[in-house]
Amino acid sequence: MTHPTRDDRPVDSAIQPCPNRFWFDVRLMRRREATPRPAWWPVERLPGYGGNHVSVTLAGVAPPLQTLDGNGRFHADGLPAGSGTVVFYDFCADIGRALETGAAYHPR
Amino acid sequence: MPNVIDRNWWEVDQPAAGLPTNVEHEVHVQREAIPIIFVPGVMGSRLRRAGTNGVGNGADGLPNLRWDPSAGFMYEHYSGCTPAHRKAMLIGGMFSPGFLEVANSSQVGNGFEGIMEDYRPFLLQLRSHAWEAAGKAFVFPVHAFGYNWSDTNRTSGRLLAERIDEVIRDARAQVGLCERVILLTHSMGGLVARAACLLSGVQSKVLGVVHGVQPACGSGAAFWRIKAGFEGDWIVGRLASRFLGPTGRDTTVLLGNAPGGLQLLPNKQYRTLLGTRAWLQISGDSTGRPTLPVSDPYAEIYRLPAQVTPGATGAGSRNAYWRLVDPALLTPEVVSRPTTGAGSASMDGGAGRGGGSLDDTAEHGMGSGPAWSNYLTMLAEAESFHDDLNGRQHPHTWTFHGTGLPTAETVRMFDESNWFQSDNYPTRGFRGFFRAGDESDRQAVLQDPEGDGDGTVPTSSALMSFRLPASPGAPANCGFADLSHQPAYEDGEARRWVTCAVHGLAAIRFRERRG
Repeated sequence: MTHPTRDDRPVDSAIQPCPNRFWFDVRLMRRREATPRPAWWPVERLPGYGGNHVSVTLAGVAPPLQTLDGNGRFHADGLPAGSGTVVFYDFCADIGRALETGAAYHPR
Repeated sequence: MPNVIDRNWWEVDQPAAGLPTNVEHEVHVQREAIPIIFVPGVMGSRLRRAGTNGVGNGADGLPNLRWDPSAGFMYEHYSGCTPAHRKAMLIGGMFSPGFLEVANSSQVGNGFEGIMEDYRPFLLQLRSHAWEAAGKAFVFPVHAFGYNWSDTNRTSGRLLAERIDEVIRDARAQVGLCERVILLTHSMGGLVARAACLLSGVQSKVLGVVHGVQPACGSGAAFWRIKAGFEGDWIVGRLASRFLGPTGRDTTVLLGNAPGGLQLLPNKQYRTLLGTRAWLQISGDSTGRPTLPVSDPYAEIYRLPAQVTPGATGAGSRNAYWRLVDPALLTPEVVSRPTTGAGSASMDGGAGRGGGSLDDTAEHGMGSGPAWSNYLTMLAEAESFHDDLNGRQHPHTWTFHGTGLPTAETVRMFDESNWFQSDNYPTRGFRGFFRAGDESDRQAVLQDPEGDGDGTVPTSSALMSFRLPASPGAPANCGFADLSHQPAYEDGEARRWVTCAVHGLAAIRFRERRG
């Protein structure tokens, strides 16, 4: 008869939490477009969407709203296992506001 | 390999659920291209002899490149030239739509090569404009559409429609999504754009149109210039006038022999700022104000030949010097006929005057022959073109125009005594000779423009005579004080307004997608 391995689990708890060794990574970027561009195509910046806000819900927990880094990436370590939900909640609202503002002409 | 989630730009703010940990996720945004196609004004496209590469000279000894509105080319080929030379360069014997073509390289690309160099700084600025947050969803490649401006705008509109299809295909290959373009026009390019949308069936592929200084109902300046040549003040203006045509002989031979030019004349929808239909004031008219046309400028002013000198004898001549085209000026290459009477001397390189004893020009041979018949055919096309457009425009249309500069909204000819003048067509002027009831020789002198506008297009025509409401949304249609016609897109405020208009059209697209 073998004995369970000794560890530091309290003897009165049958259910133990998993160690938090999972990570979550998401990047918002342009769909890969044709390259190389024609010489006369508008010169554009990096394909990511740095600075956009993102709401991430992981394993049912919603930490505070995050901001994508300069490459349009959000990364978190030390998470429990599970899946997440991502919402770039102000992506379209930002565009709409920018268009309305840009369309308003104010004579100098 | 990352887990890729494809999203159209208008769906990016929808939740992406069930994304497992320890996997890299990439949300790929499908942007939308909205190409901007610039359509230049009359004389704003570079033209070459059709079928050539635009280099060197042809068998006729003339350059294969026939029109390039850069100072060097114009100085070399048009400064001080005869009307016959202008016609040989741009018309040939009789107008044919296949005589000229846009001087582009074999692969059209962005089309910049086919248009006047002066437009390019603006287009390059537009191309490099930082669209900020709008760029997250949209990309705005910039194209130019050169066209044969001597041809009817109906044909140019059809070719623009084909170009729109090509541009959409190209942009779709680059970005993955493109359904509509924005048209940005200068002057007569507005007629081309409207023809593409309304007569060639591509309106649904056009998100909207931004018109700059469009002669929507024509311009009195077109009439003024056919009679008198291009105006020009100071050194630069005088040079431009010399290149483009400093006398009525130079301009009639070109504009009177090409359908495109005739479509710039005031049409049946033309109204003054006061709302009157009449815009031509004839010398000696007792009302002291414009009286023509009563209803139809084609029938009353354009379709009948001008007789710019009276018959040899007889008091109270009825010669209609004020009509548009003096038939003899259409064919400067024809050797002058023997002439009689005041003002009958040939004053140019072959454009003889057609004096005679009768006031009815048709009775002594003027207003007949193939050149005149061809003119009438082209005039009928101009009338038909505007009848078909019928003042319509794309439902998403914004316009800007210039104000405050003397502009031929009306055309006036004042009665003066004539003791010694014999040339109907002095530089930048016109004199119609006639005989008063007391048998004294008189002249009707074309007056300098004094209406409101940009120097070419009157405010009234740019605004389409107030009959059509401005399209919804910002910015409002805009008039810029002292904005001159030809360099309208060189003005900093006009450029800023144009970027606002592009934002406004993209906002329409945004609302369409987002609901």
